[in-house]
Amino acid sequence: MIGLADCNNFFVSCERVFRPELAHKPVIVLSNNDGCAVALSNEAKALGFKRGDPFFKIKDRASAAGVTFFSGNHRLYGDMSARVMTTLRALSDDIEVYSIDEAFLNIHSETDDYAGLARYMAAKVRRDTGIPVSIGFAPTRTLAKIASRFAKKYPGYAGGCVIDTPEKTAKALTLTPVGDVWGIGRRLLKRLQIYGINTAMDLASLPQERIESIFNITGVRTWKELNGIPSIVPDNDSEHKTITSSRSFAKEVYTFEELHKAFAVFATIAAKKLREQKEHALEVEAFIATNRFRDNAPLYFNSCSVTLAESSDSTSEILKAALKALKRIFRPGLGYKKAGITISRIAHSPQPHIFSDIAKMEKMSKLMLTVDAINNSQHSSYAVKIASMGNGLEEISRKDHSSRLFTTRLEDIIEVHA
Amino acid sequence: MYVRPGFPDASQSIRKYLAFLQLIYGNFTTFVGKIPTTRSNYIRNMPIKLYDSDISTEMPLPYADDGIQAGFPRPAQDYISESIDLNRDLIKHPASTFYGRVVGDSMSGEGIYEGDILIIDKSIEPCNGDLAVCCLEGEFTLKRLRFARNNRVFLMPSNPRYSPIEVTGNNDFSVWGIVLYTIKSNRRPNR
Repeated sequence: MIGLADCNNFFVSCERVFRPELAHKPVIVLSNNDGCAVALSNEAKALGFKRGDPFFKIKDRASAAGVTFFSGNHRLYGDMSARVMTTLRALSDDIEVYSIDEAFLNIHSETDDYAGLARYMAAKVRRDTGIPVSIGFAPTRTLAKIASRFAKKYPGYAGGCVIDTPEKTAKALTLTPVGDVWGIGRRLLKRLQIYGINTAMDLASLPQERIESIFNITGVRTWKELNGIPSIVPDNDSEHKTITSSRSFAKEVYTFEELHKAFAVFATIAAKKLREQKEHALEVEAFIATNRFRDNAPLYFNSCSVTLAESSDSTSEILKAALKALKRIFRPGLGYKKAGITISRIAHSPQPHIFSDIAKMEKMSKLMLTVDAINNSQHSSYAVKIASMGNGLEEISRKDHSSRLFTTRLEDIIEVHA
Repeated sequence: MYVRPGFPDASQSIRKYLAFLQLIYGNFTTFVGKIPTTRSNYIRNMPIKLYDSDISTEMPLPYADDGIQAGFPRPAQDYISESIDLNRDLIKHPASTFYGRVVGDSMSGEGIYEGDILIIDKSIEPCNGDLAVCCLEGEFTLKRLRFARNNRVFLMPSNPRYSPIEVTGNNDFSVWGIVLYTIKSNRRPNR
């Protein structure tokens, strides 16, 4: 049996832990620069608001309806996520963190009461961290996802649901629209609908030969998983094959210098992540885009890749390559709304070539380790930074509704009335 | 030192090298083949496995700061690596520990004043008499819990100017966390 723990409306729940008056009230968390809604409380969903709604379009109506808005406070969410994962790790033999708010749970010891275990774990995470979670147990990951959806949807499960018998599987699959199945993307969904497959049960009950003739390997795997045959093993390598750091800006950015500053931030974030994974990258791609919500402004999107002479994890090398790419795609006179870098061709060990200056490479890697060590020990993540970063994205990012760093900064802790 | 993996059988590459020499210098494999019984030759033909050194974990070892001296060991050296780390010693559940700051004076009877920092553990089961951060009607409040007969719950202030609050089923109430320690500055502010 494998479990899936999924935090309910995670970003909203993080904010509510420290703002108890917002329990049962409509709450919306916004994306970077307050662009659009990324997380909604059930009450906000009930008012008709959806994920992806642009903030400027829903602002007035939502405020009138009593919705509280938050700018994304990702340092808070990251810390709360770590707390949830630590608690789950202590309750299971092994966990695989799948995303900021989801983890697969491996239980090696057999139990005959997985439902009780799931409910106990959900209650423990809720009490220890304040974050409500839904936990599903099933023979496969895809079914565990479906089980956790049921645990979330129906309060009767008290946060824990198990799919373990053929009867329960059939019932759950009949009630699940095929588009809600893990691994069924929008394109596959369209094809399935053409074949008249609407529920997960329709898909699971097709004969295997037919599945193999219609779908690719991913589709076959999903079909097997729905039939209780474990076929998906999360591949740790593939999810780290590229690292992207990008932002949309609060206002249009016109100059190369301002973009340079932003790119210094992107390179810093991406290179740090690379070093945390002990990996090196060989390719850096830069992209910029103008505002697509502006009717009268010219539409421009472009990207360009640069291959490094040798794979690197150094902030300055990656920034150098990114700026080289940016120079090729930058057009003066345009107002840029979004930019970013993607680093790829990632490998574990540095790949020196015959002319590499090994001593210089080692010196650089020592320098970067020192920078990381200093920055990790400081309040600010950028105590030591690349000079061109300046004060980074502060001038060009917007966070009008940000909550405090309740868990990571002493000035920001909750106030308790005595 | 960086050791590249990928030579599971070194004797194979030695053999390749010999074959290369053979091409140039003629056949001398008989020479190698004639004395396989000697120990050094046996060792040379053993498959060798090379591994990456694993440096992913740390194991700090205590060391003597004032040098190693011959003669009688100093007993104090046994205690070198010990220190008091309040994070380690006071915070048993880091994942469920949060901090809060006191506003108001209803707990002044037991020396808890405005500005004091509370170390709150959410994982602790509330017990009668615990100092607790409670959520009452959507607001954080600091009081002692009193569980009375007939399932009655009271929130007890320690400043006589405030009265106990009885929590009933009509209240929006929960215990947010239990206060394990209080940190206060004993110097007056603005000095």
